[in-house]
Amino acid sequence: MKDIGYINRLDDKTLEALADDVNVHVPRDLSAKVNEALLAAALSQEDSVQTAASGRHRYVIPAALSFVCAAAVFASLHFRGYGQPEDTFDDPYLAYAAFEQAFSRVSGKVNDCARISSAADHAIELTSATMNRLKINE
Amino acid sequence: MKYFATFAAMLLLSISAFAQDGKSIYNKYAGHKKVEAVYISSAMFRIMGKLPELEINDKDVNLAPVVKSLNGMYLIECENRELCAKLKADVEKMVSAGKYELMMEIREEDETVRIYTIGTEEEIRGFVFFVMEDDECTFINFDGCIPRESFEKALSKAR
Repeated sequence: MKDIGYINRLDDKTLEALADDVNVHVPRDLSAKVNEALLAAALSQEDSVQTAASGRHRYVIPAALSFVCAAAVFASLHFRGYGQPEDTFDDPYLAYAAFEQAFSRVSGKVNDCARISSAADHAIELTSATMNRLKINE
Repeated sequence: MKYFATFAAMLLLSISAFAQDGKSIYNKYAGHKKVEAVYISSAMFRIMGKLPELEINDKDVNLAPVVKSLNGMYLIECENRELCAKLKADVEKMVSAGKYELMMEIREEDETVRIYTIGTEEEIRGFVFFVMEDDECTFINFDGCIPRESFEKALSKAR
């Protein structure tokens, strides 16, 4: 069987002579096979176009999701008031008075706790002394 | 790309845990009705530390070392029961996310006081004081690098 390259090199007269040669056997289903090959080529070309398009679409959803997440993070930070607040007082003496008042309040509660725990210490010591006396008596 | 999207989604989910600190709580509740809010910045504390004389109460208390080491103070006093419940939840998120240590808790008939700290043996980096009563609550947060010894000494004497 001659290849395409050989056929392309033939001149017109030789091609006519070959066409007129009735001894050359042409397969019966040649036309069908040629049509089939052309159809397959056309379908594979269509598939490659669709694959390229779907490949591009693959990145759209994750990119959109990332954008939505980033926007939500930004909105969350913004609406939670992540900005620096302003000083309540312009006068440092007033600011100090407010600080001292807050600190005194904390101190009061801490000292209350210390007082309660020292009262508990006294109870523990009393219990311990009582137990020691009971052991001695035994 | 899908790994980036997953990372961004995880960042979004974790953002609520990272967002709670004194500043965010102050920004959230300041300006509401029946809420009194006070903020003192590090700049103001620096100015206070340079005052020629600090008006100290009549007891022998030296607050100067504490004042000079503070970066900020946030105070919220709320008299709204609903906001108090939300504030309590936010404070709990803040202390658990920031890994504060419960220093002490006092429970009385109508009042619960909780004090949290975070820091090392030498210094306190954060201090949270939260009082919850029936219809009101108080949140105080000190932020800074406060020498622990000076802070505890001042607390025991300043009353």
